[in-house]
Amino acid sequence: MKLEKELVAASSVPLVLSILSEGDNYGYAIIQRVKELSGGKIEWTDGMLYPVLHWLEDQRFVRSRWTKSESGRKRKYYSLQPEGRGALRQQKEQWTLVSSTLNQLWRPQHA
Amino acid sequence: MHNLEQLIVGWRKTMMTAPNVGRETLDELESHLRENVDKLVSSGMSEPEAFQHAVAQLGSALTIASEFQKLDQSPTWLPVKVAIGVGVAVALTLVGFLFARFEGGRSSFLLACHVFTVTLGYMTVFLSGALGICFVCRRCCSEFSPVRLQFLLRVSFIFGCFAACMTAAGIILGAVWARAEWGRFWAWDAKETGGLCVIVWLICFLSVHRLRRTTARGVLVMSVAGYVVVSLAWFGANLLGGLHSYGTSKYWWFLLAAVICNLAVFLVGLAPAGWLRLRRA
Repeated sequence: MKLEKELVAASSVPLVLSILSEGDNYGYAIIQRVKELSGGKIEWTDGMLYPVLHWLEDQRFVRSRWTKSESGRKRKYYSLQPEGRGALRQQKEQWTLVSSTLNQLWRPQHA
Repeated sequence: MHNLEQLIVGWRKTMMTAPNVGRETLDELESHLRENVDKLVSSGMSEPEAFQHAVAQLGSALTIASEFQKLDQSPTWLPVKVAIGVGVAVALTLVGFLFARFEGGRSSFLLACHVFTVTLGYMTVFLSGALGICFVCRRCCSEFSPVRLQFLLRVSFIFGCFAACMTAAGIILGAVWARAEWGRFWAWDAKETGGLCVIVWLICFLSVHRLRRTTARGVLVMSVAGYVVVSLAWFGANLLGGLHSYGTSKYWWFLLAAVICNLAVFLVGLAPAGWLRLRRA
């Protein structure tokens, strides 16, 4: 099963915010985490993630900083900000509402 | 490894053609590309193969540019709106003022055009400098997002181009008027030399904009120095006297204070982002 483009785009913000709520992370690792969590079913074009991250930063939901990894490679880490936690709370409420509504509609009918 | 470096240099060149993708974003994408290449190589792929695969996964310059284009819908930064509003208000006021002088026979059409274009050119450098000052002040507390930096870089370039065109047109019109009224095109008068300095400054400013390694921060901090150049060319030239008889040297102390303040802001702009908040913490 492949997710539709629109659904992938709509779920990108809550997914990124949720991953960052686990701790600071960088672009490549965020993509790997999404793949791991979805069992490889949610596949982003790698380049699609960065506009989302930059938009979140512009909204002050996340903040970024460059750091050097142990291997000496420069990585841009993103960390969730209090505004981002608020946005994530809202996203959770909205997605839970959609999910529970659909679950009720699609629940097998008992005779 | 040398081969991979060459491939990455080539990829960066292609990506540079994509609008909306700034240097910092490109560094971030490169970091991503390298991570992916490493992973693919460790899974058994050859380096060129891994590179091609990683580039395809990342997306083409066009695809990435179109994704970033969607971010342009974010609202314009307030100081930019204010700067544009002030610029338009000054232009309209100047048109009214010069038209009244022209109608009253106190100014020729050529002189009115010269004053209009030069004033607008200088004013645009001032507005660009004011944006630079707002940028430095805000950056003391927190860093700008890459999206906003790209936007400010574009605004600064447009302001620079407009200022250069207006100032150049003003100087040429002034020279033509001077030939008719004073019998020569150019006399190295303090104001004329000042105008030339502004043009040279703007050429340097726009050239820096086009340099590959220029950052948005560098350009915006540099625009603060433009304030000093125009202040000295516009008002500083009055201290030296010359053919432009409307000059006054009464406010030299004000000019000095403005120059010192701008140089101070310029130095503050060199400090790391968020230094004020870090100090408080």
